[in-house]
Amino acid sequence: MDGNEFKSRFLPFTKLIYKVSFAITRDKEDAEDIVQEVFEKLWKSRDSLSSVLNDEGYIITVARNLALDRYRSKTKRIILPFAEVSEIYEDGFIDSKIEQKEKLINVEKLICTLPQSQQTVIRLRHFGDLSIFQIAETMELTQENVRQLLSRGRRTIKEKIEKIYEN
Amino acid sequence: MKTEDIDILIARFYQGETEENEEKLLVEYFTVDNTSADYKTDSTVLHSLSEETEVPQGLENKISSLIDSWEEGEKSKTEKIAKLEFRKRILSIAASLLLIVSIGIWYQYNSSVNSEMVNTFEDPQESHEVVVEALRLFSNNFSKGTQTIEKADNRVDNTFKIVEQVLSESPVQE
Repeated sequence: MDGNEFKSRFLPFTKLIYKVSFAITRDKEDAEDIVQEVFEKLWKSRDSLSSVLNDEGYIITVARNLALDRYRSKTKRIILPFAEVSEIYEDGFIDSKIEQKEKLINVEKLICTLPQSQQTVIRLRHFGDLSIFQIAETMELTQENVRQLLSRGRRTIKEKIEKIYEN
Repeated sequence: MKTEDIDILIARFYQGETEENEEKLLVEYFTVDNTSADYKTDSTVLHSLSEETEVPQGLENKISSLIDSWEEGEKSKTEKIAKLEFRKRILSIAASLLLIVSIGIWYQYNSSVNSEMVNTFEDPQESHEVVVEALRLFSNNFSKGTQTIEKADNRVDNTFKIVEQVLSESPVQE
């Protein structure tokens, strides 16, 4: 497979790879690095990719795995204990756009406290814009399993935010 | 949108059953209506989870250039390998030829040495001298041989004379 063939087959997935990577790492530089890593990996193994039937599913899986590896290596830096997260919400409900952004960052920290599978499903669904079907395929789960994980994750986030507001 | 519909959609959202378009509807609703205190938490959750990911501009071009550079790098690497392979082949052919030529020269040299031992001299004078020397050697050895034979012959003659003398001196007994 030459460069042009490779580009026409895989380049259209650039945005998808970035979204999946960013959804998991939540870091623009990391996400860009992962996009590059994914393409490098694909380029190096391009001669054996003829057996891949579902390019999109394959690429999402590669991106997700690389992003999770990077995320795990940085987890200690990102995760905050719940008490610390609560302190961030002490000021109550915030309306302005800047505060909304701050709120988003804090929900991100709440997501970090979820079990890994719930985290991944929530990130891929909401930040990676993947469909339930795509997530099920890349995580080798049924769509029903994905919906259950999504449900548990969303409920937990809601409960934690409610507790913060109660305080 | 009616409050009942919102409640149903929110319930479905927390059960993981909403589709993308339904979640967008919810986000739009909470953005426009600013919501009552009842939906405060739901609005926070939905807004936080509906952040649009901005893909950096020019990312695709950057990756495209990278692919070009990888391809270029591979081509030059392949060319280098091909050149090295070519050199290796040339060297191995040269080494083989050298070996064949060496064996040929060695064989020819050995053959010429053997043929020198077998063939006659090219210089007639030298040849003559060698032949004369050889004949002299033969003659000497032959002379030595004939002298020995002559000595033996003389001894036999002397023996016969002694025998005849003894026979003539002794009486005949009949």
